[in-house]
Amino acid sequence: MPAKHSTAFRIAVALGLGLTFTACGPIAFQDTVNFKSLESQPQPQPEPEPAPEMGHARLEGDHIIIDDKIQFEHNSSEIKPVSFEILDDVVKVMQANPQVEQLDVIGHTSSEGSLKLNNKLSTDRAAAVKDYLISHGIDAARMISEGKGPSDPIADNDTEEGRVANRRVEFKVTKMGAATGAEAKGGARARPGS
Amino acid sequence: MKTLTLSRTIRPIIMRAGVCTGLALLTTACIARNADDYRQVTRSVVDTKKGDIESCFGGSTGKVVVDFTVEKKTGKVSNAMVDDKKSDASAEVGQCVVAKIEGLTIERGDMRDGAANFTWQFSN
Repeated sequence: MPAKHSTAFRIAVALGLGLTFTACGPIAFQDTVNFKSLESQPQPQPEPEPAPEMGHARLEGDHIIIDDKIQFEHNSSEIKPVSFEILDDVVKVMQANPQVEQLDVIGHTSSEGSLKLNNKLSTDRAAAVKDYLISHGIDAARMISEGKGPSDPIADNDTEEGRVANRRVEFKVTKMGAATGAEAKGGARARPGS
Repeated sequence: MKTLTLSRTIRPIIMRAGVCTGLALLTTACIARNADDYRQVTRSVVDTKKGDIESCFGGSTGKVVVDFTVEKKTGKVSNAMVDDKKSDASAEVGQCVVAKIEGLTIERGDMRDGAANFTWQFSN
């Protein structure tokens, strides 16, 4: 019995003292918190300002590109109303890009028909487009117009598809000033009406 | 004979006291952390003042080294003192940092005091 007490006694004392002593000593540790100056942190680059949405027209290189043909009445320089929306967008491009100092509105035809009539038709159609732009606020001094007839085809005149493609109005920037904000982007090609 | 009788009387008392002490220590809310756990829990509580401490620097660069105690059982940060030899920020910045951390309390105090040495460094 005494022996049993003696063992339990030792265990209890060891437990008590052990726990007591382990709870006594401080425990050391260290850490570092780093702050970075805002100035040294890379600043997020501002998103490039998107080019103003001009719908059917955009300045690209030395042309104003339009996404559809400008249509005219048959054998006439009268612009079909369906094309007004496109020309209105050309107006917006011109207004948004004052660095376009001179825009050449060029009319083209297919080789179908007489050369003389085609030259006149392309000249008249280009002039009609220029007049439309002037009537919608673009300074006449910023534009010239000319007709090239069938002399500058972009497709095969032996097919109807090619002839349709050749009948077009082109917007070519012939004089570009120093860009003011927007970079000089080019002119427009239109597929002139038939 | 007398000694034996005394021993038989006292030993059970001491044994019970030892067991009770051990159990009491085991069942108290205090826990025994290792150094890294202690550091992490302390870091998390001082980080609640990170914004305030950053503002102590006022945009200027420098280093503040602070020694402080995390009191056992209560978990309270106390005795915070700037180590001037290791710090290179101004005294005002140091005192500002001390004021921000003094009195913070970690969750579940430890069985032991924590002797902490923390550095706050603001650099470019």
